[in-house]
Amino acid sequence: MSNPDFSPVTVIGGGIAGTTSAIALARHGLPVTLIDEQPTAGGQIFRAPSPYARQTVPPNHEFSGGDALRHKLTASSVDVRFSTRAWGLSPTLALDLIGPDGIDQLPPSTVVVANGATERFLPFQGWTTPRITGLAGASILMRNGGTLPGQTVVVAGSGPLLFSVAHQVLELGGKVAAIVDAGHRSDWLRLGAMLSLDPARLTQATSWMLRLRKAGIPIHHRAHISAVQETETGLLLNVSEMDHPERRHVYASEAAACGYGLKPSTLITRTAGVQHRHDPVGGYLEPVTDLAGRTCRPDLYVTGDAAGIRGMAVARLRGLITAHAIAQDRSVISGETYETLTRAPLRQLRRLEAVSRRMLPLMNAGSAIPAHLQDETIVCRCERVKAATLRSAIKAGAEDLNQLKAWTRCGMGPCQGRMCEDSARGLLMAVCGKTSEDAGSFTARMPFFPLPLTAVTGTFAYSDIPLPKAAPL
Amino acid sequence: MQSVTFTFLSHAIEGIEGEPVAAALRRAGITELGQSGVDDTPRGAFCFMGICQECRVRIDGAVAYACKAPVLPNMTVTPYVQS
Ligand code: FES
Repeated sequence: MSNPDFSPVTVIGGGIAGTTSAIALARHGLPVTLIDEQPTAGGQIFRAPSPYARQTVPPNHEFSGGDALRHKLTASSVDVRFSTRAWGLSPTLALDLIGPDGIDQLPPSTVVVANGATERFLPFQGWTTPRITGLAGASILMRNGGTLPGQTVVVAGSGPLLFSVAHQVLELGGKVAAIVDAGHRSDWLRLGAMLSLDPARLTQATSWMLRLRKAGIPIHHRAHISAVQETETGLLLNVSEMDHPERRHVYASEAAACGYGLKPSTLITRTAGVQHRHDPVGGYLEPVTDLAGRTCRPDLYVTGDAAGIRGMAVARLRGLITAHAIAQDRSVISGETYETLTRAPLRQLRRLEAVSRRMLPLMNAGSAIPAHLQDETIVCRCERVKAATLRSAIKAGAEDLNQLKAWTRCGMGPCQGRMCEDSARGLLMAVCGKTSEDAGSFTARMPFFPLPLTAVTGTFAYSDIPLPKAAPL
Repeated sequence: MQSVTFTFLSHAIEGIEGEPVAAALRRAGITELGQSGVDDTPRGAFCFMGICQECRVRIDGAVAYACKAPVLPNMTVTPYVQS
């Protein structure tokens, strides 16, 4: 065994995968820094509840699991930097940060990307009204904010989050007007049949479904919200069936939550220049990694949902395995020790992966929606670019997402294209038959999100600004 | 759980110290946090995870995410005007 390498490791993302990984790396004796934008660890699923939510939300697995994770982290030697966001990454993996004390930079280190997933959004007529939120967003508002999006809510989109969010609405005393799912009922049944492999998920799913059924909530499969109108007290939502467009349903509610499954956050991995591939089942781009999260760069690992959406249980296992792999790659542990440490987690991972992969088509069930967007529908929320504008640009020859952006401003606003990328890509594919690879992605740009100008410039007096001498006439 | 008051535009809002501003506003029936800089139509918190940028407000003058920024006693929240 060559000399062990104890140089620093930086973990980006304090969710289940990142925190588990950081703790395990620290146990191997490696100096670890964990960065997360929230004030405490937990990520989206184990996010610490607000003081209000602690009082109003019934105790649940996410709270107790999150508390246990945070407790373990505190007891570890991991150096934590919370309320801190990475906004840039150099080719040598120096990280630009913004945190409570302003701008900072971490020198190059081995980086573990564990920044999880982002939600996929698909538009419909009227979806920019503030009474409509994302589906994951509604879950964060309820679980971690203890607050209903509205007294009555329509829950729409695709994937298991639909039922989780509907259940959360009931839990807080709200009413679910309808569940609108883009997925096939038969895909759910097939998933259900596999859940015996994943007892934790089975118990949870059964209790949700029983409660939803008892509440008599209408569920539409292969359906989506096609338009929404605002009324004095809330919303009127038109629901269309995908295979029978003539069948329409109308629901009234105070709010609606809508999201079409998760996809890995690839901004950092794309900036780092590692290889990515399109996963046709998930309908998203993911970094190419091995089982342990190794990429084509020896100094960059990806773990948890950032390496492909598999859910919480797999994220934890992946985080653990990645940490052991780094220890082995650094000669901190031997190959045999690695084998021993990862035998059980790998076995568990393989079993759970099968179930997780079944979720992907259900999450991606809305993939046909962009092709049928009405011309007046706003696709880019920031710049208010409509489907008609995008269609004519594509017909005029816009070949990929970046050209489309340059021609129409779609994706140029403050969210930097995160909200419209999937629907704009879907339009490109539908109008001119492009593959997802050809349509591409919006180029990853730094800063990764709008930085407050004062953070970039610091505080200065006007007298500090050097004035160049006027050029001689 | 400490109940405190802050202002949003001219409204006095009750919230719990430390909870996200957007949650307290929503319980007070306020979803509109500002307007789109492009067409002036209402905008509000959408993603609740720091991505959409639509919940941006000014808290005592400084730009902040309403989905994330904690409620503090007596703070003043105003819409952030996008240019
Ligand atoms: S709601 Fe999207 S950034 Fe706050």
